[in-house]
Amino acid sequence: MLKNMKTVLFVSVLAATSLLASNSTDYTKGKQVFDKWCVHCHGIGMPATNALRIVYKETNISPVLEQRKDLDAEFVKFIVRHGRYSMPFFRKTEINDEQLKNLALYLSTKNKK
Amino acid sequence: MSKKEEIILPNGVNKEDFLKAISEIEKIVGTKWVFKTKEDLDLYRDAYSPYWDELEEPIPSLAIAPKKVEEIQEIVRIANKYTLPIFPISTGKNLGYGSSAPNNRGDVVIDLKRMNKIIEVNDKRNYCILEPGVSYFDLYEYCEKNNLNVIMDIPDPGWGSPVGNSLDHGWGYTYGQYRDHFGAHCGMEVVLANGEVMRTAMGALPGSKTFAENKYGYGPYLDGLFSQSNFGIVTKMGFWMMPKPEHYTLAVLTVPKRDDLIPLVEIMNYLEDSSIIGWPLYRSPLNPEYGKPMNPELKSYLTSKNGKPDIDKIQDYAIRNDIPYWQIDIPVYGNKDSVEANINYIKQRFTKAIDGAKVKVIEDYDLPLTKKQAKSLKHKVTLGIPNLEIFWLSTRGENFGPKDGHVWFSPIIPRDGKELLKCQEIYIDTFHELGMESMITPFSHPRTWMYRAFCFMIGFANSRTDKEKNEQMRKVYTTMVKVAAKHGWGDYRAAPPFQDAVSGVYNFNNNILKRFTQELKDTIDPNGILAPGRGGIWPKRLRGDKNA
Ligand SMILES: Cc1cc2nc3c(=O)[nH]c(=O)nc-3n(C[C@H](O)[C@H](O)[C@H](O)COP(=O)(O)OP(=O)(O)OC[C@H]3O[C@@H](n4cnc5c(N)ncnc54)[C@H](O)[C@@H]3O)c2cc1C
Repeated sequence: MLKNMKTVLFVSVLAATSLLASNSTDYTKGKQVFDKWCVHCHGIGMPATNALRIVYKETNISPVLEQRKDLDAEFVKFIVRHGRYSMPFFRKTEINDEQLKNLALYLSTKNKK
Repeated sequence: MSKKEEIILPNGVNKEDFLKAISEIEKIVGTKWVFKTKEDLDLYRDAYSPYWDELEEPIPSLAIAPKKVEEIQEIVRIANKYTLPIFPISTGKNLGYGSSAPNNRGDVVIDLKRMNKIIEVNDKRNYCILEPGVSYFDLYEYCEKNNLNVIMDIPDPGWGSPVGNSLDHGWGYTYGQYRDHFGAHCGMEVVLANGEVMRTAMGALPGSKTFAENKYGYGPYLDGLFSQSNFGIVTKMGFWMMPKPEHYTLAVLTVPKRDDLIPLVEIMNYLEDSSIIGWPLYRSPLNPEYGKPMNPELKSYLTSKNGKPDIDKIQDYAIRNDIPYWQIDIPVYGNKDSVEANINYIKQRFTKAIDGAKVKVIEDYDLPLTKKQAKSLKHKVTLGIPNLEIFWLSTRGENFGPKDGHVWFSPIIPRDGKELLKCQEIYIDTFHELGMESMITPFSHPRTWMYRAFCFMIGFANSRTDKEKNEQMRKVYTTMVKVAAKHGWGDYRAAPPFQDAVSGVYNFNNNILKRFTQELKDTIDPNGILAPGRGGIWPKRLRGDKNA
């Protein structure tokens, strides 16, 4: 019984670690997607950031996406696939579903750690 | 896709054949790379479409993303079998001129983004050979990582591709000969409408060692046939690159008066055509900083003379407030000594010829730039550093909301100050006649990337929510095309809905240019499968009375 418990514990620790590990590689991959596709408009001093600064003027929401604490993964995915104002939507040959998932993970968890 | 439409079909193809074609294509490229759901196809809409959500909006029936030339050949063969209209894009970032959408609703997009090999970059003989999916960002990263001593001339948005951009006659920002992106290309590989692969110029010589160095090889120069047209799917292109300069200086010239533009342009043309300077960026400091409102006094003079601008009052306002009428940023490349000597010469030329002209150096760097210098560079594109900063021009300002995008009206006018001032007047009159606020003022500047000609551009805002606004914009756009043509100005490029109108004014000798290209089309692409209507060239089966 004890032996079984130990095994279960061991296996679940192993699973949790590998889950964490896979989350952390997904997270890093998400950042790579951000650096390839998003930072050029959403980086500090860039046009989308400047526009969002006006939108969030009276609030404590940061105009810099990478500093946001409130971003929801589904919202990130929606914007990438539907665009917003002059930001066009992105095709799957540019950002595929897997990369989009990683990007959404990155942006939605970066400041919640 | 409208709610009633179950599925969009390619023009002239029935559902049964379409489904058969899809299953044959899936065997070639794999199901993963054949996009057929509404959700996926919506990603191929033109985000800046002047027909957004209307029945005429060009949404594809299918998108295919091949990886290899052989796959494209097979797709073309299937397209012939089913008379499937196919429309190639490279990176599909042609925003303002069609984005990643096809010319017509239902045309099948061939998305070449996955064909992204940098085949060669040579920084001793200064060229590169690329596949269509390679973006300016990709190429820059490759050159920097490999410490290569060359730069690519780039357009403002870095996410497009040398292949796609040059095939639509795009422009950039260094020396004139590189700014003309199609002109700076050298060598092409193309899949023809019958599925055969052709290499042009030196590429036609098996084992040739100068594919990207000699444009002509032997025989007629055919490359031009494949730009703004529909005679083939380009799968490789060579480009001439510019060696990195040792030194870079940005000077700013200011002049006080509107008419100073006339001698100014003449001197600038001399400097440019002698390769003393790079791309001169013309602006007027009378325009407010982006997003800020225009000074109300100045604004009032835009309509104070019977609804039209009072030029004397505007000039007087500029002088009283010590605001230069024109400002030109001038990049100079070379080594430290030659740049310094050229700057002195530039100063001398302008100050001697124009009263009150001033030249000031605002950036002066040895290359390679430090990271900090590169980041703060006023015009990154003048050193081939790709970015997306230009998108400021459609974003929200303090004073107004964001735009959904814009459709470019881009007529070519002579590189001549007098003609520019005349062009301002004609556009202002046209807006006046249309009863609209003029988007052009007596201090609107020319776009100068086009080597040896100006472009006097208007970015008409499109909307993804307001159909009436789009309809109005389409009306103004087509009026402008006609007005411009009457004065000898013709667009250099246009979004799909305007390509017939634009190509229609190039009608010397009873449309011989169009009739000639159509004759070619009927011979080279008898089934009319390649990008029907692209550049105003229609295959026989779809021509109807479009240009009888
Ligand atoms: C804010 C803003 C600024 C801009 N600034 C510039 C600028 O400075 N300079 C400039 O030139 N443009 C500019 N543009 C227009 C456009 O964004 C760029 O020209 C862009 O590079 C074009 O997209 P692309 O390179 O992805 O070409 P693609 O979209 O891939 O191709 C353009 C067209 O060429 C044809 N084509 C593409 N590939 C092939 C092929 N392999 N075979 C046959 N035909 C093909 C197709 O008809 C296609 O629609 C600007 C646009 C915006 C919105």
